[in-house]
Amino acid sequence: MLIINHLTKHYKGSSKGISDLNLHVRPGDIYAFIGHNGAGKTTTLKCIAGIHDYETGEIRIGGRNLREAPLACKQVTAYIPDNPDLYEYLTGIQYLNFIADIFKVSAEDRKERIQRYGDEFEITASLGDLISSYSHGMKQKLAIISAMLHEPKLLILDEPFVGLDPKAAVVLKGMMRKLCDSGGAIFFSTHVLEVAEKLCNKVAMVKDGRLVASGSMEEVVEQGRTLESIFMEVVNDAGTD
Amino acid sequence: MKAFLKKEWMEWNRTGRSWILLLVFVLFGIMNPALAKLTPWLMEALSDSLADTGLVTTAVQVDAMTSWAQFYKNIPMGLIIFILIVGGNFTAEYEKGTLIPVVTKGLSRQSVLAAKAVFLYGSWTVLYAVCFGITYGYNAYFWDNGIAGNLFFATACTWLFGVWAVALMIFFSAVSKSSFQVLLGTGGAALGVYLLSMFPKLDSFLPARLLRGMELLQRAKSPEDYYANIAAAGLMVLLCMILSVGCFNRKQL
Repeated sequence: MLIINHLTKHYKGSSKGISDLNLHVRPGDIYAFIGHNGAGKTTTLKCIAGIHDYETGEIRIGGRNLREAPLACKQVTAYIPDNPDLYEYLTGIQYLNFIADIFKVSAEDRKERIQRYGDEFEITASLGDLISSYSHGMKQKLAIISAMLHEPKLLILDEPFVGLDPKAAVVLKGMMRKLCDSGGAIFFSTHVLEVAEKLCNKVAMVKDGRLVASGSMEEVVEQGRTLESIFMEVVNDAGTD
Repeated sequence: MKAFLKKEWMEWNRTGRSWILLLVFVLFGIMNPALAKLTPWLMEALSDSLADTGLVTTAVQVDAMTSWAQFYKNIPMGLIIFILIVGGNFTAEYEKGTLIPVVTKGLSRQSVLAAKAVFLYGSWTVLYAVCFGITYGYNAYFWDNGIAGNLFFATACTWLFGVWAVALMIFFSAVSKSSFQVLLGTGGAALGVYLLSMFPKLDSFLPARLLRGMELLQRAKSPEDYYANIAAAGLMVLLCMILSVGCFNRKQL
């Protein structure tokens, strides 16, 4: 579903970025991407989402090269940034219709999906209100619904649980599982290691732009230990190399 | 692109931008004939105080040309207000990060740029047409527009100058990060062209002349004198758009 080969991206005038990153997210995977602040998680996600260009390497989504067929890749991908920056002067329903128009989602499908996801996140009654009146959590819910409108095969999420209330977090986890059960895949960054350990079947750890560990959760987290302890160990070891 | 155009329209309405600009251009449209109409009355009212200073006023004859002269004085101001109000059209989206969800959802950057450009050119065209139409209507009612030579050609030239200014603004929006930089770049480039047009040899090839429609109306110049300026403005608009696409595609959102 998502193949990243030797991805390298650095920002001008900064040492931050990612170097020679290799990852393979298969259909059905819920892949956690963890690392400390500034490790390169968001940069990687933005490269996959097509927001940032990269110096070298290759990103393939659904078998297509992101650079060669960006629109085809985006048609099957949904990206939810860590901060839901939406058009505040639109109402929730206007924003969802705007996104549905971009993806050319039919009137019937959009109506059914908006109703379904709106009800799941308990936001249907507020969809007629201006987004400027929404709380951070409500904006995050709206961003998630807008990402799911075209039924993506690959979901790229940057800290998706930040700002969500516990019930919405449970709903989102359910949606993530459902997407993967139907052959989709999810690649997301998080600082909540407990969630990553329980929810994901695969994990990648990044430090200072370099991949320091990756694989299935069973491979990475040894028997009797937690992801948190492994993360601290791996990151500290990588720092002393 | 249609979806993005719809979004732009909703944004302009909700933020009140469309109404403010419409009000400004309607006011300018009314002001042109109104000021011409009021000129004799104003001169008469001021004649006593002017006589005290030694100035003698005579009867002032006003006609459609007086109103069109006012139009050519007001329209640059209208264009400046337009640029000031819409100058942050792109950069506000960079600053708020609102373009990120859009470009990651299958809408190409070219489509975003094209939609914004179409909307800006369209808005300028409609507002300019409103201002011109009101002035034309009042002039036709009070006087006779027939005394103005090459009226529609001169009108098209001034419209093209506005298109050229908007193209500059789009280019600077594609390369800048803030609306201040956009306004500085657009204003600087327009001022530079204006200063260069003071050299007679360069004036024949610079868009600045397109604003001097009164020379056409008074038949002091013929449309042929403006062909090189029109071609230069058209080429610069095209160049600005090509460069804007290149820069916008590489822009880090």
